[in-house]
Amino acid sequence: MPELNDHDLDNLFRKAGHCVPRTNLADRIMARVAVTPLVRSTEVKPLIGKRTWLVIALCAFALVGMLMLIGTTSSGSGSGLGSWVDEVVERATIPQGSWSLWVIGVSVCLLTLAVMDRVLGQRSEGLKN
Amino acid sequence: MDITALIPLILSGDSRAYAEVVRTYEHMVYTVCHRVLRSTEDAEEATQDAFVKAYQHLASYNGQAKFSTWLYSIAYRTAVSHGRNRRMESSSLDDMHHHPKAEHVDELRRNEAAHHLGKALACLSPEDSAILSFFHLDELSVEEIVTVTGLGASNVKVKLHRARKKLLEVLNKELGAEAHDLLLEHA
Repeated sequence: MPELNDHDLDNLFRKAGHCVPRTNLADRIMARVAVTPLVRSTEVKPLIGKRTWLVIALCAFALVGMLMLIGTTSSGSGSGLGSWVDEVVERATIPQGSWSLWVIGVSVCLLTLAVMDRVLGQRSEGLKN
Repeated sequence: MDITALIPLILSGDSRAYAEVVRTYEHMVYTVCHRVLRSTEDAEEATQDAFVKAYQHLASYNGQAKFSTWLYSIAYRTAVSHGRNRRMESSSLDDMHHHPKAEHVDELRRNEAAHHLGKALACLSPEDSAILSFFHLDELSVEEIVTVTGLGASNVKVKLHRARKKLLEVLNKELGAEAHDLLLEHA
């Protein structure tokens, strides 16, 4: 007698088919479904989109980078617009060695804003539902 | 029938649309639960729970996987969870688990092939039994079985290979002549 192979196994599974429940299972399921509330989707749509956040992040990092760059190259003298720029730079110049703190600070601010954004988004979704 | 077209109706409160889903997948979900739990009562209870869970969380179905795969996933996990809870309960229930022959009396009446297959599958672990059923009966791909079971792809392939080998051994040794006759008879 030849031994059964994978093909025979396929046939046997197909022939056997699905198991059949004993009684009116569908009715019992529907009776339970009738008293079960639907859970609304918890998917959150942020108020500010990914692209906008990317632009904000780029602007923030560009600002920090620019301040670092100007801070190290500024001559500190000039008149009119030049002196105004110098003044701004002087006020905003990052002290030597602490730029990493600025980056961390900016990142924390962005993270906080992102969390707030999601929370607000979730609330507005909840109100809609 | 396109089941995904029924989803907006169900979400808007049309219970008849969900009854259609239940009718379509009732046997498939029950089979998954039965393969894992090997008890008619437990499988029916797990099937009910699976359909209720699917209904509750229908809004979270995002259409990335097939609806049947999503439903299988819920059914499989519900059945595994039931099995885990049952093991923690009294030994009287465990006795039922250790006597698969008694569980297949109905199947014998209903279908001889189902009886032989059920008897042979009882020699495998519930997980292997379910994986074989997904692959050979429901024709799920390895990727879909990965989604349903949460196992890794290589793990599924190994389990599938070993389980198939073991099932063939059981069928050849213990049911060889009978199984052959059955296959030839209905070929």
